[in-house]
Amino acid sequence: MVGASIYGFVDYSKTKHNKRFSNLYRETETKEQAVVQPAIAEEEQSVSESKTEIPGVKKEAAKNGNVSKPAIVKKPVKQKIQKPRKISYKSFSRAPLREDVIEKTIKVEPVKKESVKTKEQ
Amino acid sequence: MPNSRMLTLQQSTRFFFKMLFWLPVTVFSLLLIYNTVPYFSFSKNFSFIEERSLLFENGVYHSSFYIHIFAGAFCILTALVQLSRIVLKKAKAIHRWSGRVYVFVVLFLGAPTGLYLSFFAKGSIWERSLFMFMASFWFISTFYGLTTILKKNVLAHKVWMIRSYAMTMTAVTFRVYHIVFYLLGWDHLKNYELSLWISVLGNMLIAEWIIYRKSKSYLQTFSTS
Repeated sequence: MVGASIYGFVDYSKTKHNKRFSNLYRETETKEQAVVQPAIAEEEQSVSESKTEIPGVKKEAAKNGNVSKPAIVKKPVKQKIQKPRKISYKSFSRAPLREDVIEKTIKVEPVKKESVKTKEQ
Repeated sequence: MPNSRMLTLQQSTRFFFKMLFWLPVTVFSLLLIYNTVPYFSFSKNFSFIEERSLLFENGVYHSSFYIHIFAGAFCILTALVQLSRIVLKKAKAIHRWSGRVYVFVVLFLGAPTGLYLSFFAKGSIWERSLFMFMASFWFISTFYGLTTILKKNVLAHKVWMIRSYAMTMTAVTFRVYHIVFYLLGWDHLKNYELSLWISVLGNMLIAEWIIYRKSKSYLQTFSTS
């Protein structure tokens, strides 16, 4: 027991400086964030696109009567499909009971951008 | 003086409560052993191993893990034999031999590897400390269980072995609480930490309660004699 504790402590002291070790059990949480992030980034991008207007171009378009409405951005819907948590005899093991649920719950709809022409020449 | 009907009723009630305790204990113990067996294919396609892939690169951790799960499964199985009254009354030789093996497995395999693995366990410093305490208490209680029976002190042997068994069974009770909290929709890490604390402290409290009940009936024998 003394040997195990000394060896464990020495091994732990060596390993604890390893970045991979400090992020070992946090990895799944960051994966979860990574799934959500692209959708949010996509939304931000589409909003910024709709906001950037070049004044000269707009005036010209108004003269021609071809005015495009500002882009209507459909916000991504985070549909959380909370599937009923089922257990089987296999759940009674060492495996963490969380990963299946994360994959199933997060579902993000793709962002759609619509532009409407009011008057055609 | 209670009549025979009263005695029968008392006996059947006692039997019912014993079954209420031992049936789930046996079923869950066997289920855990059944789910441990696939690990001995030494495949890395288990989420538990995948999560700790970095640690499994270390040969000592790798071998400690397999020794520990073998020791745990073995102790859970032998403890069921050890605590059986039928074996105790009718086949004492089985009790003695499986007891020797149980003690050897805990003292030389299960507890030391558990202590080593506890340094790398999931959770905060408190959970790691709890794992260290578990391994140490498992070792101490089993060691006292051995020394007391060598001194022919059966009552103290029973007391220490109940404590040792309580530590062995934390693997089983942890999973029961973990599944219950999972079904309640709890966050994984919170669920993990709480299940761990409840299983260790709960098992210790149950063990002490059983010891108290047993010692109470033992003390009553002094007053009647």
